[in-house]
Amino acid sequence: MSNVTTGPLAAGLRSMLDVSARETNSAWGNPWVMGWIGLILVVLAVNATMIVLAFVTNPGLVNEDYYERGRNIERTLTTRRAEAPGWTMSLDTPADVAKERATTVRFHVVDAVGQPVRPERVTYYAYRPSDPSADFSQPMVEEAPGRYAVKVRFALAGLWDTLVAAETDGQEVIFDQRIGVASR
Amino acid sequence: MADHNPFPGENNTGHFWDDNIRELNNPPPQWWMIALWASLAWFILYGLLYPMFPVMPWQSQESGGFTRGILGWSSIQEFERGMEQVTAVRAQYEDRIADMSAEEILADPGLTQYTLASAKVIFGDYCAACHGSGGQGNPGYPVLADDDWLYGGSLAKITETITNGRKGAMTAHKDILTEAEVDRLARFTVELADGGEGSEAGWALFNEKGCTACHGQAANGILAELPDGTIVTVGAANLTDSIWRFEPGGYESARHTILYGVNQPGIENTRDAVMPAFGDAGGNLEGKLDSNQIKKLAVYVHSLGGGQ
Ligand code: HEC
Ligand code: HEC
Repeated sequence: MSNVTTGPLAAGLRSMLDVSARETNSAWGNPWVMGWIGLILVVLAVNATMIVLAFVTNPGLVNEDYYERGRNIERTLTTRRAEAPGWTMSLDTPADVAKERATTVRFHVVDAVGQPVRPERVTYYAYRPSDPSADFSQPMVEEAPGRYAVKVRFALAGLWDTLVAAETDGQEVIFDQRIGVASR
Repeated sequence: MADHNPFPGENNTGHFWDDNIRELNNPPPQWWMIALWASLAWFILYGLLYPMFPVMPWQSQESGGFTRGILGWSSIQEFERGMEQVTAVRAQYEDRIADMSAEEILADPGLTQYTLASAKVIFGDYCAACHGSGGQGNPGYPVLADDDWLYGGSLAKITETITNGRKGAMTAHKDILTEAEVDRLARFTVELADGGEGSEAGWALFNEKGCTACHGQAANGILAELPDGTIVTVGAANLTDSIWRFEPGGYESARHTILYGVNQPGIENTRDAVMPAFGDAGGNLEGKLDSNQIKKLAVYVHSLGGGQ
């Protein structure tokens, strides 16, 4: 072997290729071994990060008393039906709703005989099923009896669960609608 | 090194491994060099012609923290030129629309397309609050996207509705009819709405109590049909179809309408059903529309699905 360059890189290269060197040195000094161990550590670190993120960003959509609620579902449904005021509601989200575009959403409500209802408080909620940090809520403003409006802006395109809660005398009536928000 | 070169005249760098593996000193291929110089030339030329180099990066774009380029091109200018073109195209259409009737616009597919696009925005601003973003109606406000009309779905009727507004009126019958009569009439209307024929006694009562005066002999809201096909109504709902003017419809709802009427001043619980007037010849009152806008809206409402 003639004309081999010197220097640290060349030395490393030589030790990688040189079998006799590997036999005498400790395996820890071998860059291949170090490389593989490094790779495994990276994979493990990514896994750990994912697991931590999964716990930290859990939307927590589960109720504390889910077990009791499950057992009481029948009673809950019956009372809800009995208490339901027989309102007719509609939630109007314009079909061209798109990400980052101000959109006016309207809520209409009439009672069982078709007369407008004027709840004390009407609130608009938007839930992002996959990312609770994007959720928001805004109060709706009365434009006319039984007609409420709010100007909203969805930060992300895709599916949203929207919901209007109308509150009168501490009782809350809920109307929901799943919508798709266009990307532009 | 050169002394030991076993491959003289080969233009190698003098680096050898394992006796015959060696590094040559070939020039890059010519096409590659041409591409390199061409890209460099392109870079410099582009930089001279167009805005490119930040000279004072801490300054905002407006105050000119960059080289302007010889051509003086800017994206804002290009945008403005585009907008001018749009306005010019629009002006063409707008001029034609101003001279045409709604019928003539509908006969011209290109113009109709333009009109619909432009009216959609006006509809969103002025009408959607009550009639829904797609004319689909809302509890208390009639659907515009079907062929069930209170006042008529011809272009002329729609234009009249938008220009002058509408305010249907129905007498409150709580002091005129007995409780039992109200009950029978409410049942009768529900029966008709469900597709039934209606009993003879029901029709008799309907007639006797003067309901036909507004709802028509056939209870379908039509008072008369003129020879030219125009339909005469006072905006009374068609009671023979399954579409309810006042949701949710059904017995309770019909009973309420019969008891308290529609738009009756001084009657508590009366139905409120007012379509505002949007007509304004001068086109400068707030919340009012000029005749061109109304024409566009008439075409739009007519094409929502139920135009006659
Ligand atoms: C304040 C709420 C409101 C607004 C805003 C409104 N409307 Fe109406 N509109 C009504 C009501 C209520 C009626 C029914 C009137 C009646 O029952 O007598 C009606 C009726 C109509 C009708 C007649 C429907 C039929 O069956 O004959 C048309 C057409 C119409 N509106 C078009 C429009 C257009 C176009 C606009 C926008 C310029 C508009 N409306 C804005 C409340 C509204
Ligand atoms: C003065 C005219 C007038 C008379 C008389 C009248 N109505 Fe009406 N009625 C109307 C009008 C107008 C409407 C629809 C109002 C609107 O859309 O704004 C209506 C609506 C109704 C409705 C609601 C329909 C729906 O789809 O929700 C019912 C039910 C009804 N009328 C029944 C009757 C009965 C029964 C009588 C007789 C006792 C009667 N009306 C007499 C004008 C009249």
